[in-house]
Amino acid sequence: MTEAIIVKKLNKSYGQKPVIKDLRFSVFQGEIVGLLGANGAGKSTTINILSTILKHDSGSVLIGGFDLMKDKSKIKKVVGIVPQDLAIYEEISAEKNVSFFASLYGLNGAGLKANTSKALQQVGLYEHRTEKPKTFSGGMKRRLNIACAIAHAPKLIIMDEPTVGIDPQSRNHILKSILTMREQGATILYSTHYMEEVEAIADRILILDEGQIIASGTKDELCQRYENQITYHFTLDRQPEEQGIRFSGLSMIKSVTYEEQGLTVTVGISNQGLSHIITAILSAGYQIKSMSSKEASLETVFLDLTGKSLRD
Amino acid sequence: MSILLKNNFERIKHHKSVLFIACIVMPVFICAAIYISNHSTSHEVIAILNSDIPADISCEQYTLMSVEQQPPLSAFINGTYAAFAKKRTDGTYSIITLKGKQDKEAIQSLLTTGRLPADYRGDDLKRKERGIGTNILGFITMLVLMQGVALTTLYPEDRSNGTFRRILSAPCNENQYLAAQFIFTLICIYAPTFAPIAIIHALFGVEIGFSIADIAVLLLLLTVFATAFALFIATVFDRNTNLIATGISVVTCIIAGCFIEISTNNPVLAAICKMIPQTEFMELVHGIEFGKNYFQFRYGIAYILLCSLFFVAMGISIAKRRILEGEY
Repeated sequence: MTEAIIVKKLNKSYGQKPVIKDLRFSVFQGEIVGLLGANGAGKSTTINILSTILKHDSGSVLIGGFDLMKDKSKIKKVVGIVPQDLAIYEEISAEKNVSFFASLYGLNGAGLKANTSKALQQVGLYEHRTEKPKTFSGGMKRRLNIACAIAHAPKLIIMDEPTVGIDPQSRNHILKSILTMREQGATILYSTHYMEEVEAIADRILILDEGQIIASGTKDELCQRYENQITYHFTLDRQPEEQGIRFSGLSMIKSVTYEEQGLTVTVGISNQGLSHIITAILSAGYQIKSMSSKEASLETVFLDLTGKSLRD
Repeated sequence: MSILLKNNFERIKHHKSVLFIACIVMPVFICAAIYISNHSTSHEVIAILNSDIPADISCEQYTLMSVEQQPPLSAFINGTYAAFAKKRTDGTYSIITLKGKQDKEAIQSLLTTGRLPADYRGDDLKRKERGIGTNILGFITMLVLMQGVALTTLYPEDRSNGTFRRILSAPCNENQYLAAQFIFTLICIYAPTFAPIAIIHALFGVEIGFSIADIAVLLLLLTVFATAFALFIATVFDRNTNLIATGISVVTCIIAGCFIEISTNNPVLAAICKMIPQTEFMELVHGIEFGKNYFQFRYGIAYILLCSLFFVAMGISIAKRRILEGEY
């Protein structure tokens, strides 16, 4: 497989604070790669460097075979960027927005018109093409934000949290559009902190934490590492106190998280420890109102690797 | 660059307030400036209480009028009266005026001796000596400087709504972007400034002090400077650009003598005045109106262009530095 992006030993600091540390990863042509990380993990900085709008301190980046330091203008032509924040003109029509950004890539005449229409159709805004974005819902604006990035038919699309703050319908529409783009041959690097989005569309996942890739692979590959784990969630009659329940003697317990109305306990699945956990809770004087169990998921993997919740 | 220009024209159509100022307010102000400049030499009136009008006074600049009571302050503000005088028992006059100390002393001299001091030049006389064209362009200079900043509104807007960043991630660099903003602002200042002057002169034969060609050249020089200044202000300041630019424009235009010739004995103030490009511009305008040629003002023209270049270079440099730091 040919690599669409090769990042080697990439470093970036803001002042004295290193944000990207010796970052290395590759994205192959035709795949959707999810870049998963909590807020502040370095996702946007990585995306900004790849988008040519932020200079890195050291390391090398090859995009479509072009060196980021030497062939910036060539890279710009083959990449489409969907920025995290909306970057559209509210006062001009959706069609004019898409047409303007596409024309910056050298499109004109009938080609520009056809590509503009196609991009608007792809995000489901063709019917609203003559309307101004100031009349759009948040989800429609997000879709227009994407249309502006894909109208020049880029080979590589870099998306920085394109679904932040939108309704489920618009999110589903966007995710379907992304899958369609992949089917049409585009390579997509998708940065997000929404686990379910990555699970839904990504061929491969890169987990970024404190400026480094700490794990990568398909969802199954990542979860395989934790296949012997199971997570129990207990809803209790009151808020549990950390010192009140004695789990210390139970060696099968990997982690315990205390919450407002319950607790989450992760155990090795090979150990039949559920009865011991329930006994410990009841012995501490709590009543169990409900209980659920979950096998290893991407969320479990992420939490275990980073110690952080994605929505922190 | 043409794509960026086209987009700017498309967007500015939706900025009604900017369009209103450019297409309505500016031409109205310019017409007013031309009218005032053509009618600036008029007799100002000194109101004198009851029968205190001295006999044998002959003065081109002031007309004396007897009044029964002191006029209200508004009468001084709206120009009905330049001063009010009341005779004291010692033969001198108590004078109330909004004019300066020098004018007050001149009026005192007029009323007590029957004539103005030999070296006294009132505002109207000064304006008359400056020339109609110089007065017109003096008024316009400040308007053009302020208008420039209003018209660069699209640049700070692009920065704040993320479109600047998006444009730069496309095959377009900051030099092309800023060049497009420069040309757009230049056109938008030049056209609504030049057109009313040219129309008034061509259609109504109103005296503007210059030929159309001279006005075209002088306005181009002024708008180049105003555009460069506006671009610099828009790059440096994210907010309140209009307020800042208005303050700078008003102060520099006053001390550069755009409205009336300023003379000072303070060497520091004189040096500051000389450093302001508008001072060079006013000297150029005055010289051209009174028959000198552009070559005689080559250093002044070069200075204005250099200042413009400095503002543009500073604007580009600041924008580039910010971009390198990831600030857009």
